[in-house]
Amino acid sequence: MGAGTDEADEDRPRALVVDDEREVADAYALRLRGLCEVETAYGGEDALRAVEDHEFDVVLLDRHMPGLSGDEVLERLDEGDFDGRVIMVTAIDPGFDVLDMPFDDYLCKPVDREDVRAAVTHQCTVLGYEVLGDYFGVESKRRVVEAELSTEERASHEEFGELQATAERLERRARRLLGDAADALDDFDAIGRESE
Amino acid sequence: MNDPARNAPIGMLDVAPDGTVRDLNPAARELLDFGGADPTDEPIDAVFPQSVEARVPRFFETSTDRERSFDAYYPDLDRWLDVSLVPDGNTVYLYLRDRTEERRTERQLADARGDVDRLTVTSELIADVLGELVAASTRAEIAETICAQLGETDLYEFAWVGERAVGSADLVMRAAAGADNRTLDRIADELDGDGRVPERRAIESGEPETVQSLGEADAVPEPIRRAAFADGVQSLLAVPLTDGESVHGVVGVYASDRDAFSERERRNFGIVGEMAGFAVTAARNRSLLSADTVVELTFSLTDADAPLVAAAAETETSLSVTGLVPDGDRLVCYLDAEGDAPGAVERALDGETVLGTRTVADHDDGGSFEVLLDESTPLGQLVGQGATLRSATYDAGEGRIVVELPPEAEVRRIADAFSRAHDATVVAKRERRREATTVGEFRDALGDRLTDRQENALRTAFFADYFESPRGSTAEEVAEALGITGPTLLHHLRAGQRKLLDEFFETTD
Repeated sequence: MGAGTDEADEDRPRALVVDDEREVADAYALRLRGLCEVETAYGGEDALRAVEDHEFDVVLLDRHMPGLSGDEVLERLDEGDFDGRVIMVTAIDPGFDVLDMPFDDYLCKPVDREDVRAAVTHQCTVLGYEVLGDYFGVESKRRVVEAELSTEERASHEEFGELQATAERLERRARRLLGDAADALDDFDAIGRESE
Repeated sequence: MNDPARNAPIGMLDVAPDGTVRDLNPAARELLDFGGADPTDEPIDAVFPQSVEARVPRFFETSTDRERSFDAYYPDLDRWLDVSLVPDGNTVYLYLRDRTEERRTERQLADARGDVDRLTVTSELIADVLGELVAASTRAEIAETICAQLGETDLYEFAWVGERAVGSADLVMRAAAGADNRTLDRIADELDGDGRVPERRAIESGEPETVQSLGEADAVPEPIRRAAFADGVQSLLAVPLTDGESVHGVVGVYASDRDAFSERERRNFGIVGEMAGFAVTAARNRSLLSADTVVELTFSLTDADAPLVAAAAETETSLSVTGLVPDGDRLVCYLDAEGDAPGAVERALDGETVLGTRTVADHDDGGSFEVLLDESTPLGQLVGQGATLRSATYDAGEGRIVVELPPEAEVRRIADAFSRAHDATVVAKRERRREATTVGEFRDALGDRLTDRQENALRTAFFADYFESPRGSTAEEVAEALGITGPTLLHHLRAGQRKLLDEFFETTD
């Protein structure tokens, strides 16, 4: 498993490329450089460990792997608390939409640079707006609680602490997923707080 | 760089500790695909190809005083390189060897080992299925055995067994096992609908058939293709359950791997299909044999409205039915009468349900009649329910009717309906084996009845095409062949034909 070394990747979406063929996984990882922070896993078990250790926004999952297959990994991710998006990398392209599929998108091997970048960008945008929605919900609640508490009370208030941490985490994630498109966040922040 | 280094069969770069490339040999230039570009005086992280772990640039970013060696894949070069970084004073020597060939060979070997392992496992599995099939005695057991063995292994996603009804193209799902998934659900839907399941082709050809890529198989209905793609079920092996020319059904085995079914596996599974087909035939025959038990019911009929009961009572004559031929909505019934003059019996047979009578034979102490009865009469009703008449006798106001019902008939319902409609009660009920007569037995029995002359006359006339239309030979010609007169031949033929038909229709005299 290799971590991206580019410092600038820190503020970018996080992707995990899973393929039992190291050559394929590495090739996709390089194609995503500059777009996101990429890690690679060379098998289903490796992939599950990586997801446990780090938060990933998008997983590129090779469907047919010996041992734990892509479909089995997907099943485990769904059972766990993984909340990112999954792009299945398949051997065939039947031309189906993904409406009732258990994954969010699929790409047919071999995947060229532009296609994989476009697919990942698209999933990051969709996830970004989802996270943004969650953030607005949590942040509104946090402000309501904040308005009801004095500065001293806030420091020891458990619920407020949790809301604060969640809001910060969601804001960071939405910003890294949406990049410049996260302007809505600045507009939201610009709305004066009720207590001030 | 000196000549030995320049001519070395491995790639070699001379790099400053700060990462500036000073020199490289032609082998390195080729391995790194530099072409005409000149990397000298350039920083190594700008010219060295990218890899996921980027260990070469990282080496120069951190400490360069310890030797390092590793294998890495360089996607842009599509090459595996064995890289050694050897610090030597004010220089770092970078050695490169192409490892692509070895890596690919290793992978091929691993794949081949995987194939062998899979074949071993499938061979064992097939042996297990065959072993269990021998013990399975019913069709349900056969289907469940196959499904349990094939559906629940890690090799395959799921399996189902479809069986064909006798004389029908329709498939019915007999058993299924393995992962719960939408593909199986869609297959079940398709069976309820048009029945265009992917296994159809195997049923039609009678040979095991594979589908390698279900998602893309245009012949497969789209709901099944979509479900298979969603489930990650990629390939199918359809094995017909065959016995000789007949196809009893099919096993569908579904796998996630496109190459799950090699030619060898296809053949091996063919044996499973033949074995299972044979077992299905055996199971069917067993149940057909058991269908030879029939239910025999004896009714006592005292219904004064029943024409035969009434006629027997009125004339104080015993009547017995000798033959019964259903003819549309009426019965042609042959009766023997004993006692009173036949004319009286014939006159006594009247009423709406008697459609006609004719005297066939008239003796002093009785005679034979033909009576046409309406289907609403007791005999008509029983025959209409699928009963076979064994005997019917009428005496002093009571009829005794013995019928046989096939085992699948609803005996109680038929008996109740009959008792309600007429003044009748069931006086006996028993199950017994229906006598199956083989061709050999029939011939033996007939041989006992025919005289040699009768058999000779029949055989000669038959082979002389006397019975063909138009006749191949005249009676005179056949008679001449046998050295007898024409009238004698006709006499033998008529006697022989009557015995032949007697035996065939099982009438006794």
